[in-house]
Formats: sequence, C-alpha cells, structure tokens
Amino acid sequence: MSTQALPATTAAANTETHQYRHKSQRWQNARGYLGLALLIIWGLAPFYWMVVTAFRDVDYTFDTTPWPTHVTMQNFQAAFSTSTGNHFGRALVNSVIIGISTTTIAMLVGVFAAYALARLDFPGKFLILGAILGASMFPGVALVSPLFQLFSNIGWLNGANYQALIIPNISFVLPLTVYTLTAFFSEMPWELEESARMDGCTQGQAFRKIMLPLAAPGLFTTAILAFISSWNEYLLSQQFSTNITQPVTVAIAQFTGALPRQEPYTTVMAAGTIVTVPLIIMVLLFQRAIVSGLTAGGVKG
Amino acid sequence: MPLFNPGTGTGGPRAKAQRLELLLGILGFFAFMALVQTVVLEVRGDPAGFSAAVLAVLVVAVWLVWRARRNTGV
Repeated sequence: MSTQALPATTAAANTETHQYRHKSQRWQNARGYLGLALLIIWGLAPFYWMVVTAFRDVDYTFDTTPWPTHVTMQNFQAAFSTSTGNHFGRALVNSVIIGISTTTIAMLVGVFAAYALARLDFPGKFLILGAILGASMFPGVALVSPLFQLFSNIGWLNGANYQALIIPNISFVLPLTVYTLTAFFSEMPWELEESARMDGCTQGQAFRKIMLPLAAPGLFTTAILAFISSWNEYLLSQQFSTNITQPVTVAIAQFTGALPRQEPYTTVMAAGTIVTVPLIIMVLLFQRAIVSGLTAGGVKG
Repeated sequence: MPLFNPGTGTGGPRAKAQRLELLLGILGFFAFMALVQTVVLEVRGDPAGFSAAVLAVLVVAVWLVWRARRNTGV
C-alpha cells in the first residue's frame, strides 16, 4: 500500500513546488516591472513637467495641475520672437554649427588615435591612455579663466569667432571619442585586416576599406554621444560666446521676459522642449545602432 | 586582456607594469598641468607657493610610480 501512495505523494509535492515556483516567478516579474516603472517616472517626470509648462498659458505658469491645462502655442511663438531681444533661432543654428564642427573634428582625430591605441603595440601605450583619462578628469571650470585671457588677447571673444567655442569643446569631447572607439576597435576581428594585408592591401587601405566600414555602428554611436555632449555644453560657451555666436544653452539662460524683472518660465520651458525634441528623435531613430555600438566591446567573445 | 583594466585577474609583472603605466599617465598629465601653472605664476610674479607644493607632491608621486614600474622588470 505504501508503495502505491508514494508516487501520488511525490506528484502532489511536485505540483506544489511547480505552483510555488510559478508564483515566485510572477512576483519577481512584477517587482521588476515596478522597478522599471519607477525608474521611467523618475527619469521622465522633469521632461513631462517641462512639456506641460511649455504648453501652459503664461498666466497659469505656477498652476500645479499635473496634466496639461490652459493649453496655448504662444510660448513657442515667444521663444522665437526677437522683440524682447532674444535670438533663439540664431542660437539653434549656432548650436548645430558648433555641434557638427566639434563632432567632425573629434571623430577625425579620435578614429586614428583609437585605432593606433587598440591595434598597435608600442612602448608607453598605457601611458598615453592614462594621460587621456587624466585629460577627461580635468575640471572644465579650471580652464575658464586662462582660456578667457588667452582668447581675449588673440581677439577671439568678439564677432563671429566660432573657434573660441569649438576648440575648447573638442578637448572635452576627444577623450570620450578616443575611449569609446578604442574599446570598440579592440574587440574587432583582426584576422580580417590580416587577410586584407595578405591580399595586397597596405595597412592604410586595410583600415580604410575593411575596418572602417565594419566599425560603422561604433563610429555612429560615438558621433551621437559627441554631438550630444557638445549640444549640452554650457560652462565654456557661457564665457566665450558673443551675441552672435551664443548656443542654445546660453540663449535660454539669458531669456528675458516682456516686462522688467519678469522671468519667462513658460517661454524657457518651450525653448527647452524645442532643444530636447531633436535629440530624442535622433536617439529613437538610431536606437538600434546606438545600443549595438555601446554593447560592442563590452563582452569578449 | 581588457584594454582599460589591464591584467584583470592576473598577477603577472606585465599586467602590473601596464597598470602602473596607466597611473603614470594620469599623474604625469596632472603634474604637467601643475608645472605650467607654477611657471606662469612665477613668470608673472604672483604667489606660487601652493602651486609649487602641489607640483612637488605630484613629482614625488610620479617618481614613486616610475620606480615601481621599473622594478617590475618588464
């Protein structure tokens, strides 16, 4: 009798264990989703509030209703209006000029530096990597006053001298570019380059025709990160820009209202929304390339 | 071998040398910046005592790391 009861007991125990595991798994999933939801709310809440305020009538600026009320497009018109002395449209163009120039130069220099650091074995390689790391650690605020003095001596702080904004920006973007690309290049299959060399390519041709096209996702990711870093730069731009060259970060901070001592919060929020939206669209469009570029080099195969 | 964390999990002299080289690069960069600042202050005739002290500390640190790097024998 005991031999017949045993399988039944085991089956019941198995079912119980299965149910317990299933329940535990569901609870674990629920906790995961809850954590994700909290993170998303935490990250997106400021942006949500910015967009809600951007669409709110100026008379209801401090209305704390969490959803859009008194919706108007006037703030966006006011952001582009030049009647109060703001030049937001010009600042947007300036930011694009500075961002594209910085990204292009940083990528041109960074690709070769990263390739050499990842591919070549030369004495002092890690010394150079350490120096690049040191440069990226250097506090930007320490550079403001010496650079200000230098640029004013050579006459870069007046008129349309974009180089006063582009060159210091490159010094901050370049370490980021070199580091990201070195990690990417170091994980690439070098057998491909060796095969190209055996087929008669020079080292330069192998790099240009074989390795560079393969590195496209990494290059693309790095370029986007460099552009975002340049687009968001405020500290140096605030010191080195003129009325003609000031980028959006500075222009928004200097927005003036229609009345004296009136802080135009809703216009600032509208301008903030205009500045943020292109970045969000760019990241959403190229999400797949960015993720593959960022994770490449993270795991050794 | 991970490029930015050389010699992870290994205690070999080559890995140690690479880690020390990385440290030497960082310290060397800051020592160079401190040197530039001290020279500029001295040339201008501004007080440079603190800057020179920072430079001295960094130079000693660079020397110690350099000695440790040399002693690895790589």
